[in-house]
Amino acid sequence: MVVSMSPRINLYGIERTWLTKMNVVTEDRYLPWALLAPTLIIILLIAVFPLFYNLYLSLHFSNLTRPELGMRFIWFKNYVSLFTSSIFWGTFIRTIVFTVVAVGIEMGFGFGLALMFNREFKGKSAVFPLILIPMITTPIVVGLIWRYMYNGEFGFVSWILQEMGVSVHALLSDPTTALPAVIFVDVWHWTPFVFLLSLARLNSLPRSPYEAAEIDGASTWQTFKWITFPMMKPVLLVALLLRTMDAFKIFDEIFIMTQGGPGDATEMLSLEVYRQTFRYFNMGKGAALAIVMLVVIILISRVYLKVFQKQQEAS
Amino acid sequence: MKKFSSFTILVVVIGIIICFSFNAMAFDLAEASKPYKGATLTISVMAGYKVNAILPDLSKEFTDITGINLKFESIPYSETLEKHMIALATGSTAYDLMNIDNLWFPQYVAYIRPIDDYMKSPTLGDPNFDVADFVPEVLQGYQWEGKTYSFPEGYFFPVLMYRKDLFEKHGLTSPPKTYQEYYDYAKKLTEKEGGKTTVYGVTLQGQRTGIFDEICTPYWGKGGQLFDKKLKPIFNNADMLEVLTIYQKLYTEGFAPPGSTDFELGEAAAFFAQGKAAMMWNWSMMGADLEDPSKSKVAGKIGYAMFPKDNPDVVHYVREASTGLCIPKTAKNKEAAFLYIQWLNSKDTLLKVEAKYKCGHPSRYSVMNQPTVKNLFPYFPILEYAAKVNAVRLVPKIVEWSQVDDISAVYFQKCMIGKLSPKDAMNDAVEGVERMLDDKGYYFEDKDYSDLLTGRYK
Repeated sequence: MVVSMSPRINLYGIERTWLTKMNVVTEDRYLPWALLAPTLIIILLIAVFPLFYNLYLSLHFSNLTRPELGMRFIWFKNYVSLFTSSIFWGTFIRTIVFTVVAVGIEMGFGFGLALMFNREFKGKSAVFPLILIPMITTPIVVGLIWRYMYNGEFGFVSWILQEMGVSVHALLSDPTTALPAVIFVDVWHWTPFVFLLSLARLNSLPRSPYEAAEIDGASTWQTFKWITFPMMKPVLLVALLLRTMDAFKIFDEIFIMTQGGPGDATEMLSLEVYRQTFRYFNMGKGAALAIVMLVVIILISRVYLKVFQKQQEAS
Repeated sequence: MKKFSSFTILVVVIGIIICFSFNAMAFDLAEASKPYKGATLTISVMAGYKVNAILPDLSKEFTDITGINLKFESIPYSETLEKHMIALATGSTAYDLMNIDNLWFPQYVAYIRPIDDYMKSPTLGDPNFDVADFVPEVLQGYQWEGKTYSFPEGYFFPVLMYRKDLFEKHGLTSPPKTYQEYYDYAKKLTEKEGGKTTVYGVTLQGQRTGIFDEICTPYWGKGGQLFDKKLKPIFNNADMLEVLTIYQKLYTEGFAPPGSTDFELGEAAAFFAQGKAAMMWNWSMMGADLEDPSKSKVAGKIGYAMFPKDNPDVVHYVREASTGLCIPKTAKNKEAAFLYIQWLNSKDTLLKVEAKYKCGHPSRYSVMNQPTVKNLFPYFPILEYAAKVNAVRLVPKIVEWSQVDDISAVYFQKCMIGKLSPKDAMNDAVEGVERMLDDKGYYFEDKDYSDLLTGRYK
């Protein structure tokens, strides 16, 4: 414990006023907490309390349209109901598939685009803002745009496919094409995010390893494999983590484009949470599903952070 | 002076009493609303319904008479139930009246106030209101366990709309009489040009929110029931198999547009209005815009008929829908709110809704029969006919109806696009619905439920 040498000046070099007129020991111990209190209270109210209330709700039966039944404690029955439902597992696997495929493509395209833009070429400054447009578009607007683009009767994509002689042109109406179509929309929307992060990192990479490689006669591929990629790994992992968490809980675009259909071809976990909570008003079941999603996201991020830490230690 | 006989005096006295009684029976809205003058009613209405769009203009008369101000808040239909439930469950006093679809009515019952006592009240109730003038099944949509909670502003149900010109072109002299004939007609009416379909035989409402309704109509037309008396789903039978098989064929054989999985009532009507389909199952009030030449290419060319019914002995087989204003238990101005809905649903006001604003869905017999209304739209005779022969019905009045609909819709949609056989689709749907109702505790006591709850009509 550090004690201020002067009774008038506190530990932080601030002159003691009527506000801080307590003994030096007390001030040292409690002042930091007092200063952090407003932020902590806000975090508690906005994040911590809702999380614990959600957990509490997930252990209860609660249906808003049956207020006469009240809120009943049912232990883990909501979770048991979820884990014994084939619909839940189908939706869960579909969400994982969507996340892996969409994020994988976004990482590849985004990084590739960044490598292309990490050099000067004609028209670069004109093309650069165009690439960012999808990323700054609101998810609901993205869903609406592509819903009409894919429309089987008057959609632009549908028209092109028909002109090309493709038999299935109403992509959102066929379960074999609906999920890939939705994945494409996510890739279109979020590849610029990966591109931007990668390009920012590429622009800040030190020149000396590249100069040394040039002197040693390294090829382009060798330079990329042994210099660029290892130095890019930290930012790529960050992009991968952020995109994975985001893609796993995708809602807006799918809600607008397909509502989870046709059938359940594009049904995702977040849509099921919405349906349970705001269509059926099964608050307990919706809360349980939300907790399951949270646990999965935490596990995924733990894995990523472990890999990231290993990466840091290696470098 | 001649003495008057006792009998004469008695007759005069009785006559005076009757005259005063008539005066007492005449309802004075201005007088009844005096205690509530200056109050403001906040009314939540659903967007997309013409009757709700004209309410602010129509209701100026009410404000002029009563001095009660009205504030309307319009919510998109798809968000209404969600927003209302959150407001009601949290005890919000924000709304004095909520406009609800009768489909959701069982979910609201716990939170809204019955109006029977107001109707009987000598200071609030209008003795000339004439509840019997409403189509009974439509009024039933806002009744629960013998209590009335609202009145239907409108009344509509799915009908068959068809292109008279295309029928004539293909030598068809009358609408199809059975569901199989509906399929045969669709096949005949589908036109192709250069390998591309220019006119489809039918539109289908394959969206998850519309498909179950469209399939239930022909199923009920065969006499099929959705539930038994114990509320166990029983729609995995030969009738449903036939309906799903035909429905699947209509889509997979190309007689319905490929984008049909995206169609609900609005999209189907828009497609039909462009002249790209020959027949359509759709809600009757869509006819109002379809007959408007500024919005529809097929105005004046549409025929209307009851949807084909395979079993002639079946009476109730088309699901009726309506909207009504209900009073939440937490409303601040309940009596004023009742005066408003009583005024809105009175004979005079509902007549104005049709005669002046042409909303296209009268719910009172007297309004349907008015000369100024009778011929407003070509489908009005169907409304009157359906009411007369009791063809309309409600869906089972269970709180979980939206879940029943949704669970079944997933499998029926898969069946429609050919990814699931009709047999598997109906079996999976029944299994899913039974499991859900079991989770909700409906089978704990092995008891019989009322016909209204199970939706069992003759």
